[in-house]
Amino acid sequence: MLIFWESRLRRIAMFIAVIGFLIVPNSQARSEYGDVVINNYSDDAGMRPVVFPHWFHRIRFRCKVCHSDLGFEFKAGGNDITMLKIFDGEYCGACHNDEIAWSVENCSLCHSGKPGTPTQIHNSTIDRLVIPPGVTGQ
Amino acid sequence: MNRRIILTICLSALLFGSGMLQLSFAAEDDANKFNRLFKGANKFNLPPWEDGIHDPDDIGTLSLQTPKKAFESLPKSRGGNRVDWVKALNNGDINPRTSSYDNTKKMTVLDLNIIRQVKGTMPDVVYPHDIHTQWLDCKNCHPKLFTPKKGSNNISMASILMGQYCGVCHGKVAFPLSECRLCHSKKKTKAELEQLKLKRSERKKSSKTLPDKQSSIGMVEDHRKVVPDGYAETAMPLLQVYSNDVNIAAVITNEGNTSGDNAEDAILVDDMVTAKQ
Ligand code: HEC
Ligand code: HEC
Ligand code: HEC
Ligand code: HEC
Ligand code: HEC
Ligand code: HEC
Repeated sequence: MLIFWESRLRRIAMFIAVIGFLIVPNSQARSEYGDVVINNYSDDAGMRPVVFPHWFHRIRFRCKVCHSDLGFEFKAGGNDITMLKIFDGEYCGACHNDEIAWSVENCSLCHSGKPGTPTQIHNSTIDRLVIPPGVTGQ
Repeated sequence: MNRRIILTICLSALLFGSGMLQLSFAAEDDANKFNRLFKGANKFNLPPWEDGIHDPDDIGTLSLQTPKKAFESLPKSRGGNRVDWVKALNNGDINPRTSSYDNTKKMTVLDLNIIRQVKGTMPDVVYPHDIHTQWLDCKNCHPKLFTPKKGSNNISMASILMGQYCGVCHGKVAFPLSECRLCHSKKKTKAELEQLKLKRSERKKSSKTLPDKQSSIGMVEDHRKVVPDGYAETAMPLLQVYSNDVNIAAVITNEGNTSGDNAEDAILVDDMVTAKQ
């Protein structure tokens, strides 16, 4: 009986271990440099988070078009963007309006992030630090 | 009897399995494994469906452009997107718009290099206004990120790494901080290095009157403030090294328009011209 329980425990432990092994996050940065995930509201609203590619847009626009003319602050998630504002021509809606670029009904092109991905500029130098700020070794 | 055999077989299989697992975990936990902290070289320019932040199950993801395809014809660099954006713009490989609707508006380009003397032996930092003002407006940086007055910003490498000053953009969208030499591009002269040595020996001699100096990486406050009052007369060479004087190395050219949205910028540029005269 004792052996049986031991093996059962071991089995449970092993199960946990295997699951643990499989879901260990892959901490290696792979996303394209400068990609911003915006997820202030999306997850809660049942939409995939938004991925904004800087590299794609900077081939087409100078930084100042968005960060000066259109008023995007230099802070991931710092702009309180909502769909209503976009429909009204603010933020992404200043261009994704069927005049300069494809329009907002293409939900899945913007809302293309993995659910649960945090609001952040991914693959930044701070991301890549061996010891992220605020975390101590050991 | 049968049950016992089956049980034993199951048990040994389990034990074997868990043993193997422990082995593989032992390798994970190996105190002396070769790379203790390094997570392997960065993979870059992966297609969206493999990049870890896009959902491969989203139909939109599959319609997005891959960075590799877009970057094929652009000049290469070592960090970030692996694209040399400065060259790409100057060569005309890309022609990004200056407003959302067209490309007729001219950028207000300011040709003014600012040299910041760097503590220690690292080459001095040359900050080029011209490269930046081809992408950015004055008001993207002034006065929120930098007071437009030479030497009035107390910049250190530690604060840049934490995402302040130059680190607002560099390390996030503009080339990453691993490319030290792009910023630290002006080698110190022999005389300056000599002065550094002199400073060191001065400090050794007067180590009792001077507070302890540590390596400045990790220290956000400025060293100049640590020099006590009344010390100035006796330690001229020292103060020279401590003072972060900014040298103006180039002149202004205003090739942009001076009306409309840019009026604010133009006033700033005019101020500059009068300030220089
Ligand atoms: C041009 C890009 C873009 C397109 C296209 C787009 N969105 Fe959004 N959407 C955003 C951004 C940016 C946010 C803010 C994300 C956040 O903070 O979580 C957002 C937020 C949302 C939110 C949560 C906030 C709110 O306003 O309620 C919902 C729900 C949403 N979008 C639904 C949609 C639907 C449905 C479509 C297609 C009809 C769509 N979006 C198309 C960019 C886009
Ligand atoms: C097409 C519009 C657009 C262009 C062009 C653009 N950006 Fe952005 N930028 C954004 C958006 C959108 C965000 C995210 C804002 C948010 O999450 O609310 C952002 C965020 C940022 C951030 C904040 C990152 C952080 O620390 O959280 C920086 C820095 C930045 N951009 C720099 C640049 C630079 C430098 C350029 C030019 C090379 C540039 N951007 C061009 C739209 C743009
Ligand atoms: C200054 C104008 C402008 C703004 C602001 C802007 N975009 Fe775009 N975006 C464009 C243009 C132009 C395209 C190219 C459209 C085409 O392919 O015809 C584009 C394409 C895209 C693409 C598709 C990239 C690909 O691989 O084809 C995505 C995703 C996108 N934008 C997301 C966003 C989001 C999210 C925002 C707001 C946070 C935003 N954009 C704000 C102009 C803009
Ligand atoms: C990317 C950020 C950035 C942009 C954009 C920018 N500057 Fe600067 N500027 C700086 C930095 C950094 C300094 C140095 C401050 C210091 O040494 O503390 C500076 C310094 C100055 C100074 C002071 C020079 C002196 O000798 O005292 C003036 C004036 C100035 N900038 C004008 C402008 C004008 C005009 C524009 C637009 C055409 C502009 N800047 C755009 C970052 C920027
Ligand atoms: C507002 C955003 C922003 C800030 C703040 C900023 N930069 Fe830049 N910088 C850029 C962009 C965009 C480029 C273009 C090249 C790129 O994107 O990699 C650039 C390019 C440069 C280059 C040219 C590199 C080359 O290839 O020749 C140097 C040098 C540089 N920056 C130094 C600095 C220094 C030093 C500071 C701080 C005093 C600073 N930058 C602050 C956005 C910024
Ligand atoms: C975006 C531009 C930029 C990049 C990239 C950069 N630096 Fe710096 N660094 C600066 C500036 C600006 C200062 C402050 C100079 C001053 O005192 O005015 C500085 C200061 C320093 C100092 C002097 C100590 C201090 O905090 O003032 C050291 C040492 C240094 N950097 C090392 C490095 C190394 C090593 C790298 C590469 C990993 C690097 N830097 C990359 C801009 C940069």
